[in-house]
Amino acid sequence: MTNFSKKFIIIVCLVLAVSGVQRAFAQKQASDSTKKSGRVIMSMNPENPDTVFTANAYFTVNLLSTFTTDRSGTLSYVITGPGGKKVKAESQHVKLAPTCPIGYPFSIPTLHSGTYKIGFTLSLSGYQDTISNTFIIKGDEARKDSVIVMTLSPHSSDGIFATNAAYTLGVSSTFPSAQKATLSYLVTTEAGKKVKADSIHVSIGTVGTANYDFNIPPVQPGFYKISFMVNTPDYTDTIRKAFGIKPQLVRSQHGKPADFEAFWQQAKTQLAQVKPEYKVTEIANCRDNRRVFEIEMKSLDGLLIRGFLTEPKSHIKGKKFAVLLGLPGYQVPLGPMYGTDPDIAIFTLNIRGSGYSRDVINVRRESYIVLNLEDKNRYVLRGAIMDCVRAVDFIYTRPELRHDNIIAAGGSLGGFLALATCGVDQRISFCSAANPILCDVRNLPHEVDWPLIDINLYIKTRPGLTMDKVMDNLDYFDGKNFASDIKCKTLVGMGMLDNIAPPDHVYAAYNELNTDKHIIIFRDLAHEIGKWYNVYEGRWMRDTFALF
Amino acid sequence: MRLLKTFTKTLLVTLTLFIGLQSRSFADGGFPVRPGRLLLAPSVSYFFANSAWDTTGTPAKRYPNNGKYNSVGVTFYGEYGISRDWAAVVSLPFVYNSFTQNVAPTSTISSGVTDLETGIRYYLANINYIYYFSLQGTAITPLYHNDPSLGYGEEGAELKLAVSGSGNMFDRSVYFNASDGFRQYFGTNGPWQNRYSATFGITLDPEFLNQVSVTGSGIFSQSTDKTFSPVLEANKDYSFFELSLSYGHTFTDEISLFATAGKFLTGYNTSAGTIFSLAFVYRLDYK
Repeated sequence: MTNFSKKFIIIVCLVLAVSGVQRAFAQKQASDSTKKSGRVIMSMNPENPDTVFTANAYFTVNLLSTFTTDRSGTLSYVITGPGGKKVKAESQHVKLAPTCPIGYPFSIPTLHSGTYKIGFTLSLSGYQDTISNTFIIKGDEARKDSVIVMTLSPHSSDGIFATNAAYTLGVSSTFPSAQKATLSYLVTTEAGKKVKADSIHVSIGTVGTANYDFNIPPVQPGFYKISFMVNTPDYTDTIRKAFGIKPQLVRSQHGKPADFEAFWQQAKTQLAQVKPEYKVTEIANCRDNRRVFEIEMKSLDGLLIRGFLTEPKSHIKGKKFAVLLGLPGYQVPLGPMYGTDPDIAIFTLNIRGSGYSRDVINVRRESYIVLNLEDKNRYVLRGAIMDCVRAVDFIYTRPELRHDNIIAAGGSLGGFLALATCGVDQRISFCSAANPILCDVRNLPHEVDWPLIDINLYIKTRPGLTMDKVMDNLDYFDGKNFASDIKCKTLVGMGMLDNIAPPDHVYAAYNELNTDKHIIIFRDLAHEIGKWYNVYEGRWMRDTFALF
Repeated sequence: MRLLKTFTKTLLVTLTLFIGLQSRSFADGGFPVRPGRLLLAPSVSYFFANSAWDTTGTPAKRYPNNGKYNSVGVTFYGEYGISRDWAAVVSLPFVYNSFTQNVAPTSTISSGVTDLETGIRYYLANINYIYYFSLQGTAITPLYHNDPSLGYGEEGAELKLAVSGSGNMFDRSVYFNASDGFRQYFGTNGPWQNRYSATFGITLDPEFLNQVSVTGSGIFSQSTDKTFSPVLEANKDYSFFELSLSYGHTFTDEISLFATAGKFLTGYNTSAGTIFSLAFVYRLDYK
């Protein structure tokens, strides 16, 4: 067992201990009768009572079955508010393998401020157990009792319009009397520059919902933010949305460096000179009928990087698996990824300075994105992208993996890495980039807070370094510049309200793709994608790889 | 950053949880066949009829002299994915037919292999990777001589368009297959036929282990030969519509079992029968 494996197991044990499993074990030992029949040890994280959440509570329920056989059932929660009134409830199917700890995350829908009790109940055939806890929601100050409710209905399912945007604003009131109000809208560019505005004066009655149509005058092709506001002398509220006009015409006004491809060819040449020294260590696993391997390898500049490969167990001799190369979000540690898909191996990579590859580069979260930004040949993402290429090198060494069926997928930074890797390495056959950051970087200032805040701070600490110089370097790390070199099928996901990967930036990259491509736009989401993206991605990938 | 973490993990986990239901449904649909996959489906069926529709259609009338028709069939069905777009299909049926009545001849028995069907299926297109279309050409080759109880004894050809799809409904995974084929037999009075089928299936559990489906299918066969025989294979000018219910259980990724019960609901110039069948499905991947 490698030192890393030991560390990993120790960390897991510590997490389990913190989350109460250890205490539960002690309870288990005290009960002889229970010990004979088997039970499920339940704990939750956070385990402390009265944990404070700002709007949405998050719990993870950890389950450890001491039954000798697989058991399945449901894990449900009920939230009660003041006076024991039931507020929310939900359940999900669970499957437990003997002595295999598993955590089920629960994201609780938004609740009003207050103290709540949550009870998790595990129901298996002939077995039931419950644990409970209290938590506090401290959101915005409680509104006054009377409110004006606005509902906005864009006249486009994805927020994309051909010429001019159109909305229907529904307004209803719980005030005891009619309210004279102003309904207004403000259209701005992604950078916040005012484009259009208008308002109407209405009287909002006490019964029913009144609908008002707003046809926004035509604007130039691109993406815009739009805010709808209601104002009365005693009340104000705002709904923020975004829309796009003819996004297929969106282009960056900034070209890519003439030596862009040469720059990356040189990086790959340097990588090829580093002996990979692959080290593959199998890790004991009891989940999803998969074999799990910890992978260590040397990448650019001799840095050690790590990943995890999980492969379906198959009795078919010579069975080959398509490969999902999972690329990490910003500073997200990627452990082994499981799943019951019998056709796909999953290789999750921890790029240098991220997750489990922090032996040499181990900086604070905010420092990572700017590490060595003053020198494009030393910038951290140059090595990170080469780490991804090395991961492909590794996949090519494995005879049980289909070398012509590799999908590179990720979200946020992972989405950027997917674009970049597919741009510099044509061995990948499918690219899936959700909410890719760092696209059309020269237009990022004034449009996004992150990573511009960290970049500006970094410039102040580096004498002689200017934003122009930073942008000159970042041209070599611009998602749109990689996009034009991608040869494989590419799926892009975008949230219209994304303030980290703004829609005009993502679309500028998307429009640079000269391959079979598809974009899925989520009109009401920010830096995230909806379930349909995953479904479509899975279906398109399986069709591409002929995994019918 | 919590959002980033959650999102990224969710992205990767949900991706791998996607399993195309089409790989679990029985053959004869619009879904493409995986390259290198061999699907073998031996099946056994039992058909029983003691009444028939005449040339005017309903209602069905009992056979005279307490006549009863029984047929046991064993069919070997196989398909193999040649490439991403092409698949080979073969079907070889064997039947044992008996017709009994209380006057001489009290029993008439025939048995043997019937029409060998060999075909090739082409993956035409899809819509959003949800609806799949295929086109199949099939050659019909009789493996018997001068035995009208086994079939027409004529060579034939069929062109069939099929569409399949899968999705979610009622919080369950569902799928459908629909096909329509035109078949022409090339002999004297060789009928032309429209053979159609539509299936809707729903899984009963998240692991896709159990499913039920309902199928409506039928044949509309037209010929100048209007002769009626209680032996299904012998009629040339007839039609029927059959409704069947099927239960499928998946034992492993490779082995499934389908049990089906069906009844002929309407028709003319053919037996009004009931059918039960069991089909074992073996999927073997060679790539």
